[in-house]
Amino acid sequence: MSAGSAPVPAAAVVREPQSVNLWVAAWRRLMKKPTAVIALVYIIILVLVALFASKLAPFAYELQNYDVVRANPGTPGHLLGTDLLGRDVLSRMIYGTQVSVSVAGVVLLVETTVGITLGSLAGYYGGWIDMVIMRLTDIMFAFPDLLLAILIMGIRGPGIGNLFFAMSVVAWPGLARLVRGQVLALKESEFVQAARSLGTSDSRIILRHLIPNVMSPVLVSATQGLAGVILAEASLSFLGIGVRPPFPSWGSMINNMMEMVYSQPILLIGPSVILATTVLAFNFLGDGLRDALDPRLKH
Amino acid sequence: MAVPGVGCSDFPQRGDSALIAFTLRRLLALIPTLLVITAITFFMGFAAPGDPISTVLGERASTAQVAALKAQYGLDKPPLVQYFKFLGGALHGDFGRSYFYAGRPVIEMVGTGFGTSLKIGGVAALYAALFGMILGIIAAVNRNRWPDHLAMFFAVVGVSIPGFVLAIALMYLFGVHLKVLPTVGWGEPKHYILPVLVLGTRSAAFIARITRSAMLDVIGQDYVRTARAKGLSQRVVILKHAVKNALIPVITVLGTTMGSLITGTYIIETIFGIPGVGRISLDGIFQRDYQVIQVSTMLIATVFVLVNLVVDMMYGVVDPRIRYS
Amino acid sequence: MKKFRFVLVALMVLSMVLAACSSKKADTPAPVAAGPVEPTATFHYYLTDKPTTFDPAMASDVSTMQVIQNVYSGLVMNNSKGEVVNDMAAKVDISPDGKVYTFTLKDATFSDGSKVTAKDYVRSIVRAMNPALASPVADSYLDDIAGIHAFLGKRDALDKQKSDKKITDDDYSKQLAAAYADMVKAPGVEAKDDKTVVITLADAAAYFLAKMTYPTAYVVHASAPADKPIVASPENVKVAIGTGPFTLDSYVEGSKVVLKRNAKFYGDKALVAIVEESVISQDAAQLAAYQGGQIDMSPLPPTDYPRIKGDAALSKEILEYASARVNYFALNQFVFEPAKDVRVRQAFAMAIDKDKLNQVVYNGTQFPANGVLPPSIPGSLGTNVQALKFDAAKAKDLLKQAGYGEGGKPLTLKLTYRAKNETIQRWAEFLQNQFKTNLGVTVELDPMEWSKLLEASSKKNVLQSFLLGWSADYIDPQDFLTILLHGGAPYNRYGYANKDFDAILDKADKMAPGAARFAEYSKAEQLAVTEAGFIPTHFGKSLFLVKPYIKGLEYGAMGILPLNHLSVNK
Repeated sequence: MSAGSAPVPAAAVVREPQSVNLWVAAWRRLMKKPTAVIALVYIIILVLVALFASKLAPFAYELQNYDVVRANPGTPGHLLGTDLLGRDVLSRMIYGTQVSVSVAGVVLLVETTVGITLGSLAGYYGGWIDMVIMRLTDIMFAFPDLLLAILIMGIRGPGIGNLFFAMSVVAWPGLARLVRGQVLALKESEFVQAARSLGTSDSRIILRHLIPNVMSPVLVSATQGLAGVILAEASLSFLGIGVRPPFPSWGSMINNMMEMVYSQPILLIGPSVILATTVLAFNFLGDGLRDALDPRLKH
Repeated sequence: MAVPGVGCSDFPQRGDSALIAFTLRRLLALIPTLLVITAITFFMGFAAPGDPISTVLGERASTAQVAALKAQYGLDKPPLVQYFKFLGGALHGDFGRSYFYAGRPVIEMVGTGFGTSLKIGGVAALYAALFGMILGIIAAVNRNRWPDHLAMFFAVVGVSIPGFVLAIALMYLFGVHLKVLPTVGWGEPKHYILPVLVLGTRSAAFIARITRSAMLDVIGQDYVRTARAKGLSQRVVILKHAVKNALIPVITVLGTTMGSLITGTYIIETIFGIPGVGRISLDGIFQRDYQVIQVSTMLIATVFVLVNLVVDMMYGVVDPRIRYS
Repeated sequence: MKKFRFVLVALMVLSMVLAACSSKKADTPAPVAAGPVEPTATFHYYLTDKPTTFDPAMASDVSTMQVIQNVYSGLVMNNSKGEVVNDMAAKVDISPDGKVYTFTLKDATFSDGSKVTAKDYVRSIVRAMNPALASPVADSYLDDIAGIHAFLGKRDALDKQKSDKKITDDDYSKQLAAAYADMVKAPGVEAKDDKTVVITLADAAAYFLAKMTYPTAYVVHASAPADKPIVASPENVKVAIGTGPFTLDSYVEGSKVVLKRNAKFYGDKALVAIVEESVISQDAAQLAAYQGGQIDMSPLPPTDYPRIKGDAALSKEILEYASARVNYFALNQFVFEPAKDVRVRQAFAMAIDKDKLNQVVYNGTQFPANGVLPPSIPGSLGTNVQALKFDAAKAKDLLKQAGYGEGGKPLTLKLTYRAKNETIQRWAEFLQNQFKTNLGVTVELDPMEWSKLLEASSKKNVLQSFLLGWSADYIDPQDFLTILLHGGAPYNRYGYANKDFDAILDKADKMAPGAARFAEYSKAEQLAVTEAGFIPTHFGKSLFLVKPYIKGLEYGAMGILPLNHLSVNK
C-alpha cells in the first residue's frame, strides 16, 4: 500500500537507542511544519466526525425522502444535496467517514503489529525463520495489491469486516521487510552486542532494544501508506466490492452517483473532494513525520 | 511496494559478475513464486461461490444443464485435479479455454489485452517521466518563486487525487463539455490521451517532487558552483550538470511508481472501456472464468516481479554502496 | 557512461512502446467502391459487452446476438411486433397432429457465394448439439426435436450416473459420444431434397416455431468445424460465414466489430455499407459517446431521462419500446417459511408502491407491473388484471392475521440481488425502505455477484428472497407462466405450487395456437397474481436516443436491432 513512498537507504538505519527527548524533539520539528499541523488537525477532526457521526449527521444515512430526490447542493435542509433515492449527501458523507477512519485505523494496527512481529523475528533469528517469512513477503509483493484485495473481496463479498481483512492482508509485507532490514543492522550494533554479553534474554532484547529503535521508520512508512489504504478502500467501493449497502463509503457514493456525471455532476463534488483532501492530509502528515523523525532523509 | 536496499542479506559484494548472478538468482526465484501465486489464485477461485457455467447460462440456468456443462468442461473434478491439469497444460503452452467466451483460448484473449495495457502503461510512464521532470526542473530553478509554488501545488494535488475522480473530471471536461476527446473506445491515438493523463499523473507528481529536491541538491554542490564561476550561462550549467545527475534518482523512482501504473489499469480500463488486461482480469473475477483469472494474474505478477527486479538492479547501479550477492 | 546505459535502455523501451502504438493507424473503413445503387453510408452502433462468440450455436447474450443475428440467419424469425414470420423458409407446413414441420427453402447463398441446401440445416442443427461444443443454449431451444429429445434423455441419465460415481469418467465420455453418434443417425431433422427440411418433434409444441427463431437453429457454412466453436477472435471474422444481411469485416478485440453489407443476401439488402459496433459498457459512457457524436444510437439511462426530456432538441431523438421483460421480487417458500402463507406473500405485494418505485428509481421510464405477463405478450391481461393494489394498512393487517409483525412474531428478511448494478441497487434499497415503513419488516440487503446469485437461486434452497427478471426467449405466454411458475418448472425457484394453476397450464401448453389458448393463460395469470406466486414490480421498457438522420429503424421485441432496414440520411 505504500506505493510511491520514499525508499529508506540502508545507511540510515543504525543509530543509538532513542530517548524520550528524541521524540519530543521530533514533535517540535513536526509542529514547525504548517502543512503537517494542518493535516494533523484535519485528521483529528475526521476521527471526531467518525466517532460522533450519528450526532452530527442531520439525517440517518439510509433515510429516503422521495420528495427531494436528486436535489442540488444548497437546497434548504440538504446542504450538499440528495442522491437518487432522496438521501442526504452530507449525512452519508459523515457516516462514510467512519469507513475511511476505521479502515485506516484497523490496517495501521494490524500491519504494524504483524509487520513488526514478523520483521523482527526474521531479522533477529535469521535462518529458516527468516527464509520462510521473506519468501512469504516475496509472494505478497508479486501480487499487485489491488488485485489481491479484489480477489479477496470478490470471494468474501462486500462488508466492513471483509474490507478490514483484505486491506490488512495486503498491507503488512512492506513493513515486515522494513523492520527486518533495520533489525539486521541494529543486531550488530554495540549496544545490542553489549546487552547480549550481559546475558539479556532474546525477547527482552527484541522488545526493549530493537523494537523501540525501529518505531520511527515504521511510523513514517505506515503513515505514508495510509493514504494508499484510504485510496484502495475507495477504489474497491467504487468497483462495487467494498462496504455493504446501504451503508455509505465515499467511494461507493461516487459509484452510486457516477451515472449523473453528465446530468448533475455537482452532486459528485462532495465525496470526491473529501476523499482527495483526506488522502492529501495523510500524505502531508507522512511527509511531515518523515522530516521530523529523520532529518537526514529529505525529498 | 518493495523497499529495495533494505533486504540486507541480498547484498554483500559487488561487480558485474555479481550483478549477473544476482539477476539469474532472482529470475530463478520467479518460478516458485509464480507457482505459489497460481496455486493461491486457483484455489481462491474455487473458494469463491458461483461458477462460470451459471454466468454463461444466465437467468435460465437449470440445475441439470449446469451439471451437464460442468461435466463437459471438467469442472466437476476435484479442484486439485483441475489445478494439476492446468499446470500440465501450461507446461505445453496450453493455458486453457475461457468458459465465458465460448471456448476461446485464454492466452490469446489475455495476451491481446496485455499488449494494450503495456502500451498505455508505457506511454503513461513516458508522460510521467517527462512531465514530472520538467516540472521538477522548473520548480528547482525558480526555487521559492511562483513557478515553484505552482509546480509543487500540482505535485501535491496530483499525488492525492484518486484516479477515478480525476478520470470523471477529465471525461466531463474534455469529452462532454468541450467535446474534443472521445470518452471511450480504443484503437486510435486520441484514445490514449485521457487514460494516460489519469494513469500517469500520480507518478508525474511524485517524480516532480523527487526531481526538484535532487536538482536542489545538485545545484548546491561544488562542481556546479565551479561551473557557474567559470562563466557558463546558467541554462548550460543546469542542462549539462544538474539534470544529468538528477536523472538518477528519478529513474529509480520511476521504477517504483511502475507498480502504481500496473494496478491503476484496473480502474482506468473499466472507466474508459479499454480492452486491457486489467479489465479482462476484473471481468474474469466477476464471471468466475477461472482460467482467465489464472493467466492474467500470472502475467501481471510476472511483470510486477520483473519491474521490482529492474528497480533493485538500478539501485545498485545508482548507489555503489549497495551490493549484490 | 555505465550508469547511463540503464537510462538509455529504459528510454529506448519507452520509445519503442510509443512507436508501436503511434504506428497503428486509425482503422477507418475505406469507402465501398461500387456502382451508383450501392449504399456508402456507415451506421455507428454500440454493443454493451464484447461479443462472447461468433458461433450461432453458442450465442446467449444480447451483445453477441446483435452480431450473430445480422451475420447469420435461419428458417424463421421474429418481426418487429414479435410475431414469427418466414425468413429463409418460403413456406412452412405443419402436420395435423402438430408433430411434423416441413420447411421449403428460398434460393439463398452464403456470403462466400456457395448455395444453401437443406443438408446445411441438418448439419448445423446436429452440430449445435455436439457435446464437444458445450453450447450453453442448444438444449433449451432444440430439445423438442425427436432425435435430440431422446439424446438429451440419455445424457441426463449419464450425468446422473456420473455424479453418483456409478461410471468412470472414461466410460461417461465414451457412452456420451455413442449417444451423440446415434442421434446424428436419426436426429429428427432431415433433408428430403435440396430445398426441403423436415423436422419431427417428440411431442406437439405450439411454441416450437418461436424457438426456431433462436440462432441455435441458424445455418452455418460447411467449413465451420463440427466439434469446435467459432470463437470471437479477430482471425475468425473470415471463418464466421453466414447467410445474414451483413458479413463480419473486422474485429478489434474487446473494442469494435465492423460489419459489411452482404450484397448476396436473399432478403431485403442492407441500406448502409458499413456498421461499426463499438463496445461501450457503462450507461453514462454510452450517452456521452452519443452526445459526442461517436455513435448514432444509444440507450437512454433512466437517470438522464428527465434531463433529455427537458431538452428541446434531444427530446425529439427519444425512442421508446416496450420490451418483453418482467422484473420481480420473489419470496422463496423453500427457505423463508412464513412465505408459505399466502397472506404473507400478499402483504409483501401490497406493501410496494409500484408507481412510486417507477417514479423514483426509474424516473417513470418503466411500467409498474400488476400482472405477470408483459403487455406485449399475447394473452396478457394487461390493465384488466385484478391487481393486489398498494395498500399499506391492508398489507399490515394481512401480515398480522398471519401472526407476524406488530403484535406477532417479528419478521426479518434477507434480500439478495445482483451486485454492481446501480439501478438494481436502488430497486433493492427502495424495497427495503418500503417493507420497513409499510410492514415494519427489517430487510438486510445482500448484493451478490451475478454468477453466485444465479447459482444460489437455481439451487432453490439458499436464498430467502431475491430480485431477478425474465425476458422472453420467444413471444408466447408459455415462456413466462409455465417456465417460471409451474410447480414442476426448473425455473420456479420460489416454490409456488398450486395444482389448479398447473392443470390450466398443462392443458394450454398443448392447445393449438389461437384465442382459446391465450384465454387459458389469462386465467392462469390472474391466479398467479392473486396468490402472489412471485411479486412482479415492473415491466421493462427500452429507451433510446437516435440521431434524426437515421431512418427506418425497427427495434425488435427481443432487444436486437435488425440492421438491414435502416438508412443513414445525413
